[in-house]
Parts: sequence; C-alpha cells; structure tokens
Amino acid sequence: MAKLSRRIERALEMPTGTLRPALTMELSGNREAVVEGCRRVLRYDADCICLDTVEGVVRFAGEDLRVTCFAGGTATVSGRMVTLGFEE
Amino acid sequence: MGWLRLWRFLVGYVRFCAEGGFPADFLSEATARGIRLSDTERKGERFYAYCPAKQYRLLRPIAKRACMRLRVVRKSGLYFRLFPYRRRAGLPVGLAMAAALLVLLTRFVWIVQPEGNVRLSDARILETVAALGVYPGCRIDEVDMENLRMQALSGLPELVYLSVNPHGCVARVAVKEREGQPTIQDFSAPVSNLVATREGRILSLRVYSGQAAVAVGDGVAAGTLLVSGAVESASGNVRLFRAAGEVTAETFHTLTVTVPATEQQLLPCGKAVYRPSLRFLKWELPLFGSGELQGTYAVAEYARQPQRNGITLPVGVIERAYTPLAETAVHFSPDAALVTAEERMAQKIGALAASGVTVVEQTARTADTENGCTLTVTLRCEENIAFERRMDITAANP
Repeated sequence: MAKLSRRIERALEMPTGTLRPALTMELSGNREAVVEGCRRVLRYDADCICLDTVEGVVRFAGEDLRVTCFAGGTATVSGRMVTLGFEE
Repeated sequence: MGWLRLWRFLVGYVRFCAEGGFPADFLSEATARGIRLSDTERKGERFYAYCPAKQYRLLRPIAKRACMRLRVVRKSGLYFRLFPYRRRAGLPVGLAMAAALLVLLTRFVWIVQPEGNVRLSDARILETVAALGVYPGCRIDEVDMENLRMQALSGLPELVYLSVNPHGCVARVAVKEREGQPTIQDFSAPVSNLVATREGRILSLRVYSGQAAVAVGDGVAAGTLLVSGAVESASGNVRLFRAAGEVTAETFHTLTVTVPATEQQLLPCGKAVYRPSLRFLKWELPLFGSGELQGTYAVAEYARQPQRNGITLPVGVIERAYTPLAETAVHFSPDAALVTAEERMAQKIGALAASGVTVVEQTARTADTENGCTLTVTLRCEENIAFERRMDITAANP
C-alpha cells in the first residue's frame, strides 16, 4: 500500500507525504531538528537519540541532546548534533 | 518562551526526575497515552521532564513498566498556589463578588476631571457640572450632554466651550476659556461728563470722547469736571457726547488702623474633636457617634485619598477636625499692638492696590501706642480718578 501511494505521488508529481504518512525533517543548523512522522523513541541519551519513524530509524549523535517536545507524531530534538544517520 | 511559561503557570506543571530503567520507552509510552512531556533532558542516569500537574499521576504505572522511579523536583503554577485554599469557600465567593462589584461600578463615574482651564478654578467647574448631574457616582449615560453644555456655558460666562467626555470611569470636562476682549465704548448712551472722584494732580489725560476741561499738571478737587461731553464747534454749535477717557492723577490716601489694648477675638479653646468618615464616590460613611456639637467650631478637613497618575481616587478617609471657638479677650502690649497694627495695615494697603491704585511711596507714618496702637499712614498713589456722571440736559441754564 505504501509503495502504491508512493508511485501515485511520483506519477502525479505530488509532494511527498500527500497520500501517506512520511518522514519529514526540518533542521535548524545543527542545533535543532523537528521530525514529523515519529512513532517512538528507541534510545534517549545525552550523546545519542534514536527515533523510530514511518520510514525507518533516525539516529542523532552529538552532545547535550534532548527531546524538547514529543507529541502528535512530531518530535523536536535539540542540542549540538554531530552526525545524523538513517537505518532501515 | 514567555507564552509557554504563562501557559505552564496557568495549567500547573510538575518538573520531575525519573531514575534508572528505560527512558526512551517511558517517553514513548507516555506520549502514546496522550501525556504531554516537554523539555525532557537526560543527565547521566537521570531523566528530567515537565508534565501537566493533572497528568502526573498517570505517569506512575508507565514509569513502573519502564523500571523507573519518579520523583518530583518542582511544582509550579496557579493550580498549586490555590490548592491550599481549596476548602475556603469564602475566597471564590469574595472574588466573584469583587468582580461583580467592579462590573457594576464601571457603569458609574468615579472621577470628574476638568481640563483646559487656566483662570477658572477646578472647584467652580466641578460645582457647576455637579449641579447639572455630573459628579462622582452618577451614571454618565443618563446625562443629557447637550442640555448640560448649554446650561453650564450660561452658568460659566468665562467659558466659550465645555464638553464632558467619558473616558472609562473618568468624566473629563474639557473647557476653553473666553479670551479677554477690549471694552467697546457705547457712544449711543446718554450724554455725560467725567468728573474727579478725589483731589489730586493730573499726570496724564487720555480722552476718547468729549473735550478735556483740565490739563496735565492741574490740581483738581473731588467733583471737578475733567472731560466735558459738550463740545463746541468752530461755528459755535454745541454737540453733546458721552464723555470717555482715563485721567491719571497723583493722589494721597491716608489709612488708619487702630488696635485697642484689649480686643475680643474668636479664638480656639479646648481640644479639637476629630470625626473621620469613609468616602466612596459621593457617599460618606461616618465613623463616629451621632453626638451633636454645641457652640461655635472651626472646621478643618483632611482628606487621605490615594492618587494614581496624578488623579485622586474617589475612595479614602476624610477627617474633619472641629476646634471649639470662644470669644476671648486678647490683651496687647504696646509692642504687640504695633506689630498687629502693622500686619493689618499691610492687608489694607494690599486691598487698596488690588482695587487698581498704584502705591508709589509712603510719605508719612505716625504710631500712637498709648492705650493700644493707632497707626496712620499716608500714601502717594497714582490712579484713574475719572468718574462718569450723566449730564442733565433738561436743567435750565443758570
């Protein structure tokens, strides 16, 4: 179903996430990231935060990391981010 | 951030610390159950977060499943401030009554404030508009503004404009004073002459109408014709006018003040009686017994009313001091009598100057201190001595 929705979006040149929940991330430098499509928090440490999203796991590594807000599928991660990784 | 803090204050928030276990699971499950955790922070093995006060209890089973132990770090907000007073029913009742009273009182005028007056006193404006229905405690929407304006302007001829502008609970009385106009001589009035009111030596003549009968430097007695309203032309015809002008003359005034050795005066005797009242708008609530005061009293009023932005609020305590007065025989020593006479003479000279007479110098002064004091002062003055006297043109020519 997700693949079909993705194909329709591509065929109709619609923005990603119009027909299905998608991972959207907005970065403000390396200090803040707003992640939409977040299901749960997998790991929460001051140097590493892992988020389970609709399109896999997003991993933030850095210093003094924190989740300032997590509600309605949107998580806001702030701190000094050094690396950002995606895992299936 | 300010709005967030305000929201937290209104809702009531708990800052808690969770130790041990799995903070990621704890955060995920709490969010899944609709508990809004914010400003989460990880410090070593400890997990800190904010939580709405009412949702804190819901966190306990979640923390237990995540193998964490909860501890409240700080409680803040209105919810916690009001919690100790939850059994005091009088508090919300009082708050509701205060709010109702405030709403009720906003329908009334609290303060009447004159604006724009320079020469006319505030008291006179307030007195006039109060008589027409604008006073502290009145309902401004019940006042007929147009009628008030017309009546106030007829009662205060010094004004050319008056308007009452309600501004919240303050009724601002905006006024504009009449500019001074030169006196317009009415030459159609009956014919008249100008005569001298007192003896003196003419210093200057300003004749507006008529013919001068004296010249600068002339000495005149009281009643002397100064400006004649009958003007004879070159052809011998006589035309009659209303004489007008100013004749300034050097005059002498002799003032006498007598202070007897013993004088009866109304002086304070005994202790003053203080009678406070609570004032609110136009009403006063006496805070004393109803005992009548006998005899003659001097009353002094002291108002203790709070001020805000230069405006006196219509609430406070008014204290009136009633000082009993009695006829008392006052004995003056010669020196004291002279001092008193000097004071009264200064008042008399001030009153003379206020009547339009310019005092140039004091030419003579005598003080008789036998049996009190009699002070006599002669003043050299300059004043307008012209006085208009109607001409009787029906009288037969002698």
